[in-house]
Amino acid sequence: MRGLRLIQNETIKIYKRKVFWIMLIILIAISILWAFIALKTAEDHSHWKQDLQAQNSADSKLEEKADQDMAAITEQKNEMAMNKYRLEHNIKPLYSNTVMGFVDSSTEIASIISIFLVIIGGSIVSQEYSWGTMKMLLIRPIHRWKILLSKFLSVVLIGIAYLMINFIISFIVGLIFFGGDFGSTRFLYEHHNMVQDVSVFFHLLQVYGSHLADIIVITAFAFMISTLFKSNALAIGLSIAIYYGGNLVSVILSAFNEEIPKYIFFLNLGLYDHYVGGGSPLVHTSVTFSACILAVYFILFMLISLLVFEKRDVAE
Amino acid sequence: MSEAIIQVRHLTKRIKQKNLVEDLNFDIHRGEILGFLGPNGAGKTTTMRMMLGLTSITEGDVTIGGHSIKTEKEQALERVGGIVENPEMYKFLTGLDNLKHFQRMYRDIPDSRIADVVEMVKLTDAIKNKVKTYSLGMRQRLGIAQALLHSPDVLILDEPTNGLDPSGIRELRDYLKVLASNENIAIFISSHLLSEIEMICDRVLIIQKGKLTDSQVVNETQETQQVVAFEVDQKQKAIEVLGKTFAHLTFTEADEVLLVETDRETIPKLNATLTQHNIKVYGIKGVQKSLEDRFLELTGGNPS
Ligand SMILES: Nc1ncnc2c1ncn2[C@@H]1O[C@H](COP(=O)(O)OP(=O)(O)OP(=O)(O)O)[C@@H](O)[C@H]1O
Ligand SMILES: [Mg+2]
Repeated sequence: MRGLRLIQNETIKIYKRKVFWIMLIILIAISILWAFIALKTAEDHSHWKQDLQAQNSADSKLEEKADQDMAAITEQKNEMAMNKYRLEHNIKPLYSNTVMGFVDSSTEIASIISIFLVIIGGSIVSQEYSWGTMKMLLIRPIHRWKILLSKFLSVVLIGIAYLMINFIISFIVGLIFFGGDFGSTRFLYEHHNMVQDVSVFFHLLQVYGSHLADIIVITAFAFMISTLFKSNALAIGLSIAIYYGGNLVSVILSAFNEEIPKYIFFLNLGLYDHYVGGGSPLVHTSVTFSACILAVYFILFMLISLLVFEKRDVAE
Repeated sequence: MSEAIIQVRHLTKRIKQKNLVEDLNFDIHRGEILGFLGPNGAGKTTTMRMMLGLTSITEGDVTIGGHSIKTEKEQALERVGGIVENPEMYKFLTGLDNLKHFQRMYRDIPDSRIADVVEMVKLTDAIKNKVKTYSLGMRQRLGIAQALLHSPDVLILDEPTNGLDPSGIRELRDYLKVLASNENIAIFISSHLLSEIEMICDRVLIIQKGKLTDSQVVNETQETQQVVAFEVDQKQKAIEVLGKTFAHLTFTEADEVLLVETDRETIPKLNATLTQHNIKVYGIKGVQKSLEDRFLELTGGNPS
């Protein structure tokens, strides 16, 4: 019971501050901007079947030339297979100027949510020191680890809230802008050179779930830095650098070694991308492998935070 | 004397081979207001931080209600309210939200209790305003409200009079006295300002450079020994006569009077002895050495 009340305390201290609402406004603004971009760049897709057929015949002609490398050929083959599948099963692609297509493309905005959460999670411990309220928190009859855990869980809750808000807003904005065209309810992707066909809602759930996993791990990292160094600037800066600079690091590292990058936590982020898009910078990893690596790091970050916090002298 | 609710034994804090606090030993009893006096940097805050489990204890231990702060911190803190240095609050929350926040950290505090403490510290009108709009004195009173919220048995207050005006200090003094006597709680209160502590406390500990000076200064309200001045016609004879009958007392001659440190009940006996020996007694006066004198005497310096 008291555990829930602790989480309530921490979430109150997040949403009763302006920062939370500024982030929310930014989120809504970006969603609307996103819709305008989708409107501007949208092509007419009323004759999508003809378009796909045309594309496929163009592709097959290219293939005959056969002066391309293997990867490009495989990619082309997969695209052709998918187009064929669409035509056979009458599944329209998810155009971003349809409601569902827009909701799908709006999942890109979730990377901004990661930054917001890093900012919140990277300061939730250090700000208590700078406000001078840490001592007020720690003279209560509550184990320190419970206070720390309630802080982390409240960040995760806020993360879930932002992701849900993003979904809802993109849906509403989508309805307002493209209400006439709901779009496809199936989502196709290619896995092991096979066309996979899932419900778009299931797909969205997985995308958001994967984002949530990312957020939890990267926030745990920010949280640890903030607990260790009592500095939110360091925690936020380092976490964002890692989040965005990660791919660069992997390119540099993999030039020297193929193995090491697999075990670096931030290169394993983006679980769902690994699965559907081959978006991972890592070679030869599976989703399960990445998930395990992330889980191990997550536990490590939390343990370090908890142990350091438990022992620390509070005298500011 | 009533039970000691706080026991401090060999309490020591060492950082980098330097003893910030060294071998403190004292008890605090229910219903007692114990002062903790010392110049800046003497180690008052450090001691209180250790007592509240905020910093680790290098040697020794503190027990509160029989629970060690080292090994049973949560039980020990259940019945303790505290203010450490300035009671910082969440400025973006209202006073009421701050109190609710701390209410959630205890087991069962009824909402009516919040109204009671707010009333007690006279913040009823401002309690729905954000703390950032509060004056220093209002923040200090909110700090006292949060310390009292869970009706603790022990209050540990580090310089709670900081930022209070004279009437605020007076009010604080009054309700601390009420709390101690009516609700039988133990209060440990630090200050570097002698004048404040003198009026609030029953007993005062003086700390200097991390050590308790060996004397505990006892305030007049509880004092059993007092210095009495006898105005007599023959001082030499008086010392002679009294010295025989009251061998355990020391008599000293001051300008016009004879000084003796004794308890209340002995005074008439001394007087009787003097008259029996035909020494004229013109007056008997209690001379209270001020705490300030003692403080300066003990610490050998300026108290603040
Ligand atoms: N973390 C620390 N590391 C090293 N020295 C410290 C630390 N904290 C406090 N000190 C030193 O310990 C001594 C006691 O400090 P403390 O804050 O307990 O004094 P105080 O009696 O509360 O003084 P004041 O009346 O100014 O509040 C000071 O000399 C201070 O510099
Ligand atoms: Mg102090």
